[in-house]
Amino acid sequence: MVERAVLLDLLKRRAEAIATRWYDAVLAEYPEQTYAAWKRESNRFANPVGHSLRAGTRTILDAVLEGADAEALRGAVTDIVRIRAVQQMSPSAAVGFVFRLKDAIRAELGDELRNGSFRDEMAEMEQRVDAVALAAFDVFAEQRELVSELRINELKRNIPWATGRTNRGVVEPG
Amino acid sequence: MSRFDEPDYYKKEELVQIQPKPPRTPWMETPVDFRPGTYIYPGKAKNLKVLDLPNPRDWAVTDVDWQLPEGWQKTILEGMADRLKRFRSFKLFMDICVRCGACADKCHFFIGSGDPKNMPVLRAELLRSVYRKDFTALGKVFGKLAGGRELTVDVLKEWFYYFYQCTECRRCSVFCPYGIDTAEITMMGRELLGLLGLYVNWVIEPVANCFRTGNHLGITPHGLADTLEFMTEDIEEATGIKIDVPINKKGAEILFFTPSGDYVAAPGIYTCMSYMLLFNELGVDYTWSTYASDGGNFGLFTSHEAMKRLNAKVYAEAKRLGVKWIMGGECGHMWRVVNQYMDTMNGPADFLEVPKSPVTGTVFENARSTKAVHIMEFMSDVIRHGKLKLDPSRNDHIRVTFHDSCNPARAMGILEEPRYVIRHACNHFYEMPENTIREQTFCCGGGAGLGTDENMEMRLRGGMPRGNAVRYVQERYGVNQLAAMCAIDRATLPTVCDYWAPGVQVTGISELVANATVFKGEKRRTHNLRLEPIPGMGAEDEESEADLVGAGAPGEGQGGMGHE
Repeated sequence: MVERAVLLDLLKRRAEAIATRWYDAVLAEYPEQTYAAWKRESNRFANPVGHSLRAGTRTILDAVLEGADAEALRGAVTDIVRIRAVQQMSPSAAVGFVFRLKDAIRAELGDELRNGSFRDEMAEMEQRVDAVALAAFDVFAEQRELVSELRINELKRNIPWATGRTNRGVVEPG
Repeated sequence: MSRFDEPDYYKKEELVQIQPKPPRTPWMETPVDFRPGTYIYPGKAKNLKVLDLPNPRDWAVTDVDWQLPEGWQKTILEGMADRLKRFRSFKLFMDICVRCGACADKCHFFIGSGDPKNMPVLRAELLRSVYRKDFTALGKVFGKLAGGRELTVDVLKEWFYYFYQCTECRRCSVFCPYGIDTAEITMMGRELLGLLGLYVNWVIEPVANCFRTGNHLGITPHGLADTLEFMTEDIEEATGIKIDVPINKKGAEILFFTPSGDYVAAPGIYTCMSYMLLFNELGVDYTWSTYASDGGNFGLFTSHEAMKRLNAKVYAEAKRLGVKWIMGGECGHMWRVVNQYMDTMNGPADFLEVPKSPVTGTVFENARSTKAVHIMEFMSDVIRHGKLKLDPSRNDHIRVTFHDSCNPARAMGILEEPRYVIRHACNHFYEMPENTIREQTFCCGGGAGLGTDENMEMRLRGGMPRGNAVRYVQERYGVNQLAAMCAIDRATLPTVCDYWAPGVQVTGISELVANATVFKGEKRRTHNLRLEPIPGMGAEDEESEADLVGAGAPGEGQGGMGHE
């Protein structure tokens, strides 16, 4: 228990650095020119994806460290997954960014984790990250379903009017 | 390295030593990935035949063989040479880019997708590389070293993919120190593709329809008359006012034309109803035309020739009907055509008079040459003179923001009139952030012929910056409606909002005005033009069960509409 508290405390104190590493790793999955442009521009309206990645990774990390429940995790991943669900990447890549958090933690706490310290605690932490990945998968699936639904809705917006026009003058039963 | 508890620690570059991985190949060698949802279906042979366009055949974008005509490279290069001679701007834009990067992150498709070939500089480079190889001395000698490349089938496929991922919105040109207009480069790219019969059906079918019937949807004269008549029934139901629809009325003072999208689909139809209602109230002597029955002009997205052919009907019909001047409705690209091309393309309209408002006597000097006035110019003048009795509190349940449509904002500079009108029709108006409106406005992602459902994923990427700004005002001010004076916006922004800012509905500006107007002889107004109960107008008490379809219930999105 003491070890656990110590690791959590360590992670919280280094959260900014972990988030920075993670954000950068996610950003680096985009093409080189994109990485440079999105890293440079900090305005949230000029660069909404870069902003969402930066803010979103931090939000998710905080949720993980707080031991947030499944619902809260869903909320935390939604912003980023909504974006990646319509970008040119495979489903695994769209949600796979979550696992880069494990790399970021290990990279940041390299010294402290050497010699097998916090092994059990890290395993638990990584399980929490896995829970985030599952939440991301749920959101991803929902967003893809929404994309299909939006296609249908566009057609629906035309049909009632056309039907109404055709049926004009027809006495409805009942 | 500093310790983690020192402020410098987080700024350390050593902290992030990651090198971006892709691209694994340079851009010239990165082939196009035609993923469903990111491209538009090709133009059908029957539509190309209507327009006498080359190489009509049915094909699919995912086919390996695009059935190109014999000697296609020669056709393209000759077409390029011809256009470099005819269009000074094209020649300039091919030569003067210094790759400063100012435009790089200004395109909504780049911002949403992260695909570098959506950076305007690279989009232009798709053409420029071929131009360099074949039209510049350096390129002829040094080829790739000088940034040139061979024109291959893969290059052609790349053109097709990326020139139909540009909405010709011209946001990037606002930031270019040389004023390079990517829209014009895209236009050239599309014209060249057209020489080989490479069109998208979402553009070329409307063009073929329009060529036959005068409107993109192929609505016949009696069909249009029926449609407008049907709207009057809804108008009467909502307001108690019975109006006449003047169609092909010779000797009317004004010819009114508007995009055909507003004849058939929600929420555009409510904007269309509003025009008729407001003209009736103001006693405007106007007429619809069943021939000049579309203000939209997808010829603009095809070629200069196609644009001219479709636009010719406007002055022709004005002459035939003997009107004095022309008024146009809430459309986007229509106003680029009307404001920048119509006069020299199909004018001079010397048989028309300088537009003068019959309601206020105001002379529209700005339209002295084209003789065509925007409805927001007309309407803001009417409101300014107090000629409409407005009760904006009828829109008090609406917290509205305004999306500047690309063409009226950037090609026409009509920025204040719509805002003036909205402020008089609504008590709760909130602007989106400064770098997302006016000249810097973000496109809906569906302009220039991209607004079709098979292109949904790409549209959502392109609509992301706009959706992001809408969500900001939604969260901050409780905005629940987005006003836009463009039919493509009204067709595509509901989808953008449902994805990026769920809960925000889309409306035309005239609709807001009509709902706020106290009409002479109106019945007690309990329902708006969508036939939804107006909160605070007593409708809830009478019919709390009146859950009309599409009335904006949470989670329903904008899928249905209020017609049962």
